[in-house]
Amino acid sequence: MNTLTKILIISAGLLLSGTGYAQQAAISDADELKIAALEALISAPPERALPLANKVLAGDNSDEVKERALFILSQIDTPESQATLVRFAREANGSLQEEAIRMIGISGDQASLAGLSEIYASGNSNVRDAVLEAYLIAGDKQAVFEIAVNADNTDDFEEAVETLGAMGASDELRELRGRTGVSESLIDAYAISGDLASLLDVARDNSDVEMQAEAIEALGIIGGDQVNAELVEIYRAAASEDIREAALDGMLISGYDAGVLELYRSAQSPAEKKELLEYLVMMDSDAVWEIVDAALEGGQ
Amino acid sequence: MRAARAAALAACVVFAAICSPTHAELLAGSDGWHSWQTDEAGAITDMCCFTRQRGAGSRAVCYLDETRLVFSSGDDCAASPGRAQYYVLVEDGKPREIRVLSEACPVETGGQITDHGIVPAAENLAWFRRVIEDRTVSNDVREEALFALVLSESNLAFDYLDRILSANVPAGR
Repeated sequence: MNTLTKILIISAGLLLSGTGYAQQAAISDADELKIAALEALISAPPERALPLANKVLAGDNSDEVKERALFILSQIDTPESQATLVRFAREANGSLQEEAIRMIGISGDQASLAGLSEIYASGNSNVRDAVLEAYLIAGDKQAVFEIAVNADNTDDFEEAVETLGAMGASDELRELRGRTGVSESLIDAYAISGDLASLLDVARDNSDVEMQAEAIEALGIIGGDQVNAELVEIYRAAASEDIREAALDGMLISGYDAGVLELYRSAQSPAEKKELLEYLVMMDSDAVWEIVDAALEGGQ
Repeated sequence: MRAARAAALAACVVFAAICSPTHAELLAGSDGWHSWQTDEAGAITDMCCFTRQRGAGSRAVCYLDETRLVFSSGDDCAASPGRAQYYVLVEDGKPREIRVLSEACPVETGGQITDHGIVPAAENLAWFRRVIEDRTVSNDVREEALFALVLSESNLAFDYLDRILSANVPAGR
């Protein structure tokens, strides 16, 4: 183990140590001590930590204690530790199985990660979520992409797409659009991953107004000067009330009250002015007072 | 002859009291930093303080009073085989900070360090057990004690950890 690895491990250990005794209110004293002892093992040589962690996993211990042993295994870079993690990921039940899966993600072992696809295919929704989390932790975008492409139901597809968004997997999400078409989850993922180009592409495509409106609204999540200018432009050029409203929602999300005020000042109809004023109020914008003051001055 | 034996026995008792402080004596010791060494087969502590500048790391003096020390290990901190050096800050008669370092690691503190010399490994473990199992000691310190035992790589320490982790494990599992 090199020096940097040891530093990281010891730092992680000290961070973990904050959780050992302190956050175990519902755990017995004996288990508290075991958990603290396991956490201390993070700074032990693998050949000394591994047998102790394995012993805990083989013993009649609570899931909380065993989960901490699984974490220790995830920090030991040996075939034996990986074999135990994979065994628990395949054969354990409930939270212990899910934790073993997540720990494979933390370990980042490529062979063990590859084996998770089989566990995903045969697992329940909790297991499938844990596999996605493991891939998220390990940064394995391709594995999540494969899950999305091969999903045979909407829930699994959306979970995978959401994970890709959190991973910032722009290339994979663009590829997915080519294969599956635009969907609400894909638009959300573009926004979460910060893929402005893809989002603008959908926002400018009026072949599906519902998806177009979703994309316009989602632009607000990315925010920024370019997005704000686009939203004002989209509002002005909107061919339908839905698109106009989506642009306003986008400005609401991005907090662009200056744009809404600009639109208010250029609005012609009282109904439009009223709607824009309502948005400014919802945004808790000081611009409302500019409008009130101007109205009072005009009245005088 | 009898008087000589009595004198020798008394000298041994005095010597043992000086060289082998009990955990109670250490815990009840005066406030400030205390230090002692163990000499035990299996122990191999090369932990030291460490500083990183421009991505490169180098050994540094350990300022014991600092709350955020960066520890590392490396050849330049290698200690004599079997040696581990412990530092304990006592406040109000209770341990507040525990460090285990290489005996080759330079340390500094704003105050005095009371050196207790070499403590037998079993005595050392008994002291750590007392801290770890004492619920009046803060959890942070108890966890530091566990980390110190692990970092010492002492066989006795790992036997103790094994006993903690094996508690209530049914035979044959």
